[in-house]
Amino acid sequence: MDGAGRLYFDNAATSFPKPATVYEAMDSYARTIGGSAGRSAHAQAIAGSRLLFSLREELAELMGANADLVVLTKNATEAINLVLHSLVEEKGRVAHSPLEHNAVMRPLQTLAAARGVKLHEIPGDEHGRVTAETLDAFLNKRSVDLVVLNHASNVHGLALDLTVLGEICEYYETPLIVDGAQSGGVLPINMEAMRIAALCLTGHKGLFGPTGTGALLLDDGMADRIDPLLHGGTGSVSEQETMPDFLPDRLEAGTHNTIGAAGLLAGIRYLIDRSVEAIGEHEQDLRERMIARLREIDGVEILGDVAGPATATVSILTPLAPSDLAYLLNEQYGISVRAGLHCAPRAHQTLGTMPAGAVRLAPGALTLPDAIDEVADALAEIMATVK
Amino acid sequence: MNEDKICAITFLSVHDVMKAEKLLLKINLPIRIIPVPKQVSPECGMALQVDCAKLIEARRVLASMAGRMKNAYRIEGSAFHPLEDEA
Repeated sequence: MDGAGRLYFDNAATSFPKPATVYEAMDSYARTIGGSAGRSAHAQAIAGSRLLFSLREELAELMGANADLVVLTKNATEAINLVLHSLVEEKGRVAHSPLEHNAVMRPLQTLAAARGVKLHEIPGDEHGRVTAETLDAFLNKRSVDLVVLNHASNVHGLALDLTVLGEICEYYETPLIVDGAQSGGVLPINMEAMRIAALCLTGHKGLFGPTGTGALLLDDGMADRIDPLLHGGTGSVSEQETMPDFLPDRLEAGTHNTIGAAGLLAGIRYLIDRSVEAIGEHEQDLRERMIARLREIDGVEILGDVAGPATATVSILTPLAPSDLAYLLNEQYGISVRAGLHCAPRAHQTLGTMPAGAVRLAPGALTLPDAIDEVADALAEIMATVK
Repeated sequence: MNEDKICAITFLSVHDVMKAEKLLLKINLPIRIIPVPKQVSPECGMALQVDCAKLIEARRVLASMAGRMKNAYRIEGSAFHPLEDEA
């Protein structure tokens, strides 16, 4: 199978294609460096260590964070698990949005079962978005240990105003944990300005890295509060059979995915060069163009059809089962989309689309505007045959 | 301090070594990354080598990393003498 010539509308799952520099950086690392970062002081290991350092620095710069508190993970899920398993104590109380992905809900439900943790869903607006009013009213009534918010939904792409929500969390002295899997690289994020205590990112979506990369970015208050999920070698304090007590080593046991880091660093440099703002505007244009075309097609219902900050991701309902529509788009038109629940049953429950889910159309930063018309034309053709 | 002497600074983590390298290179202070000497620690990490004559300047530049620096040593052949011992 060759992705070339197809229309890839599954960027909310993973971005494709990546900027050419990402492939080149990974190839170059594999062929010319190849050393294991932090595990020796020979030239190749030093080159790998410098690469990881640059990645932490440039990612931190992009996210208004502290490079000393960037923990490299394999994805956002690992970052979220690190935070939740560390911070949520026996009989604790956690609040989350109505649009959470299973990357958040499954660890939370695990903690609810194992530690008797009480979960609270913060009310949202008609699209499930937590607003300043709903969060303030919620936190005014009850005290929770943490607030977990999905910055941008992986179902309908709508995003939250983290600047305002972060202020409210700070007012109620409640740490704000953000799942930035969909928004990282697409919408501006500044940990300090948004008062984010822990930011969980994946590397392979809006940051253009390969799969198997991600990061947990912590604020100063969180630095000593996160415990490792994995224990093992770190290249530091090797005489000791327990984990180091300092970051990032304490949370990074085992050999790093340095080739992945090379790709992620190249992706971040592409982003910085093009600017998150420019990518955000491009995705907003794609979204508006797609929604405008979808509105013209009889039988298509759009989820999250409302103005506001968002990624390019849109989901639709049609008289066809989502899996059937995705199959037709794939087989007859060479269009890659994702059908079903998108690992987000909570979000679909909120949007009233359980149990079948929806068809998600997710163009990305490298999608050309004409591709929107091709997908809309295909959908119009299919819908014309549906009675 | 003898200007011909070579010193080394050890850090908590490799990340710190990389950060210190960047800060010192920014002021064109000549440095080298070397393995953490066996006499100092059995670990497999890295340390920064710097002219002893530049050690005070290096420490000044790295002041913000005070909590992340472990020790400084004077290197004599294959021997590493903790500088605190010479104070």
